[in-house]
Amino acid sequence: MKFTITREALLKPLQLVAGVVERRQTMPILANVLLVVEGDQLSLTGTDHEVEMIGRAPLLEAGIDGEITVPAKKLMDICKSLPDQATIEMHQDEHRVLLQAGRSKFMLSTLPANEFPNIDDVEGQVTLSLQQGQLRRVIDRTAFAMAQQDVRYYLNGLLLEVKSDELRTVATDGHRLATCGVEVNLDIEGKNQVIVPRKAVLELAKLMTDPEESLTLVLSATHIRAQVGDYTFTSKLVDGKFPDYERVIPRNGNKTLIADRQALRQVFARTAILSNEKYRGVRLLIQDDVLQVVANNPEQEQAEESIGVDFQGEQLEIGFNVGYLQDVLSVLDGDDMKMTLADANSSAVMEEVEGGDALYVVMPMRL
Amino acid sequence: MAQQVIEQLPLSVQLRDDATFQNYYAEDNAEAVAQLERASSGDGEQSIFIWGPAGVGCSHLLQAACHQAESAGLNSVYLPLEELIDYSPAIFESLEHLPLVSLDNIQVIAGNSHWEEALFHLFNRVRDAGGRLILGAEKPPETLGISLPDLRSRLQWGLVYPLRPLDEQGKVFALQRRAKNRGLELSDDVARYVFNHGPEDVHELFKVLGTLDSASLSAQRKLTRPFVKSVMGW
Repeated sequence: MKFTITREALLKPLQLVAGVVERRQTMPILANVLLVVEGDQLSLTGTDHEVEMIGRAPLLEAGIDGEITVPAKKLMDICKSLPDQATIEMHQDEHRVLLQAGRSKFMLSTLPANEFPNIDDVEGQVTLSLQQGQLRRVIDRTAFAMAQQDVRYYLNGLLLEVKSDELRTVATDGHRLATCGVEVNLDIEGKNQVIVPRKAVLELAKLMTDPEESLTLVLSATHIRAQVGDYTFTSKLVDGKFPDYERVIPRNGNKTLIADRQALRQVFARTAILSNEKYRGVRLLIQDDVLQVVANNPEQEQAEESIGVDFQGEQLEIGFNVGYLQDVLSVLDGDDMKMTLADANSSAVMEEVEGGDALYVVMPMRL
Repeated sequence: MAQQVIEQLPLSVQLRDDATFQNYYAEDNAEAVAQLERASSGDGEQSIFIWGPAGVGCSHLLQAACHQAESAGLNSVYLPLEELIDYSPAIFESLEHLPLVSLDNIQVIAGNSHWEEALFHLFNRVRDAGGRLILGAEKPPETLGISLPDLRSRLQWGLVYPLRPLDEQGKVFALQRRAKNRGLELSDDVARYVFNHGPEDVHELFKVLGTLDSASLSAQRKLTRPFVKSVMGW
C-alpha cells in the first residue's frame, strides 16, 4: 500500500473518523484507523463497535492499492503538527507504515486490516432524504437535554421520530425534556421511532456542515446509517422503549411569563454565581410584572436581581436548576421567551413567543 | 437550624411497568398462565378460576389478561370486586358483549345474595354469548363461602388453578425483572437487600421499585445499596 495526499485532504476526514475512536478500548485494534487505498481514493474508518465512521479523501495520484490499520490519534496528531499544504506520503513497509512529509519521517506500528471490525450492511426498513440543515436543527435544539450515563439506557440517547410530514427529536434526562420538530415531505408510512445513542448523536451532528446539501438516512431495527457527502456514518440503536413524551408535556399551565431572552440570560448568569454549586437552585418570585431571581448557597451568600417581564396570572414562587433554564435560553430563537407555569411543584414549559418549532419542559426544584 | 432540603423534582418519564404476562415470573404456575393467555386471545376454556392468598399474583394475571386482550384488539374489562361491592351488581349488565371479563377478589361477594345471583347470571350470559370469564379469589370455589349452590358448581365448571407463591429466590428474581422493565439495573446484591428490608407482601415490595425509580431519576443516581438505604430510610 502506498499513497500521496495533501495534509488538508487527509486531516478533515481523519478528525471526524478519529472522533469515534475511544480513548480506552477493549481491543487494541479499536484504537486504530483503517486505511484503504483504491486507485486515487483513500478511505478511512474508525469504530468503537457501536459507532462507525467512514470518510473518503482524494489522493494526489493513484497509489498502490492495499489496506492497513494504524494508531488513529497518533496519525491525527502527526497530521495536525505538519505545516499547511504539506504533502504526505505513506507506504507500508512490512509490519510498519512509513509516513514522510518534507524532512519529517515517522514509523507507525500497524495491525492487519482483516482484524478490523466492521458493522455489517444495514438492512434498511426506512430510507429517507433530508437537508442537512433540518437534521442539524432538530439535533442542536434538543441534544443538550440527553442524559449522561443514566442507569436507564433509553435516556442516554435521542429519540428520532420520522413521519411523512415531520422530523422530530426528543431528549430528556428525567429533569427536563426538549423536543423539536421540522416539517418535511417524505414518502414513508406511519411513525418511525429510533433511539440514537448519545455519542452517535454528537458525532453525527459534526457531519451536518452544509445546511442546504442533502443527506440520506437509513433506519433499520437495530442501526441507523447516514450518508453525508464523502462520509458514511453508522451506529447501533439503543434497544428499548422511549417514554411517551406527549404525556410529559403539561397542559395545565395557567400563568404565562414573557421576558426579554438575552436580558434574562444575563440575570441568570449573574445570580447563578452564588447558587449552590451542586444543585444550582435559584428561586423565581413572579408578581405583577416583575420577576425576582434569588440564589443562595451553603456559605450563606446571596444574589438577587429583578427584571421587568410581562406576567399573566397569580403570583408565584418557584425554584429551578438555573443551568436548565440557561440551556433553554441559549438554544431558543427570538427576542422574547415565553414560559408557562402552573404551580411550584409542576413543570414549566419554555418556548418562543410565537410557538416556534421547539418546546422545553423543565421540572422545578424544592428549595 | 433545620437542614435545608433541596430536591430536584423528576419528570414522569419512567417507563410503565404494567402487569403483563411477560413480567409475571412464576414457573410453578406456568399452566395457569398458559390457559389465561389463551383466554385473552379469545381461545380455550370459557371460564378459568385462579386462587391463592394475597401476593401470589391473582390480580397481576387477571390484569395481564386484559392488557393482552387489548393488544390483540379484543375488548375486555377488569373489575376488582373489593372496590365495587358498595355499588350495585347492575355493573354486570351487558358485560357478556365483551370477549373477556375479568373479575378479581370474588370472595368479597360470598354470602351476598344480590351479588351472588348477579354473578350467576353473568356467568350464564357470558357462556351463552361465547365469551371468556376469568375469576380470581383467595380460596378455591368450594371453600369460598358461596351460598348459592348453582353458582358454587358453575365456578368449578371450567379450569381451576391454585397459584403457588414464589420462594425467596423467585421473589428476588421477580424484583429484578420488574426493575428491568423500568430500565433499571438492580444487582443481585441490591435486589436481595431490598427483599430483606422491604415489605413482605410482594405487591408492596414491587411498589418500592416505583419509589426507587423516581428517587434515582431525581438524584440521577444508580440503585446502589447506600442509595436505596437513604431513600427508603431502612
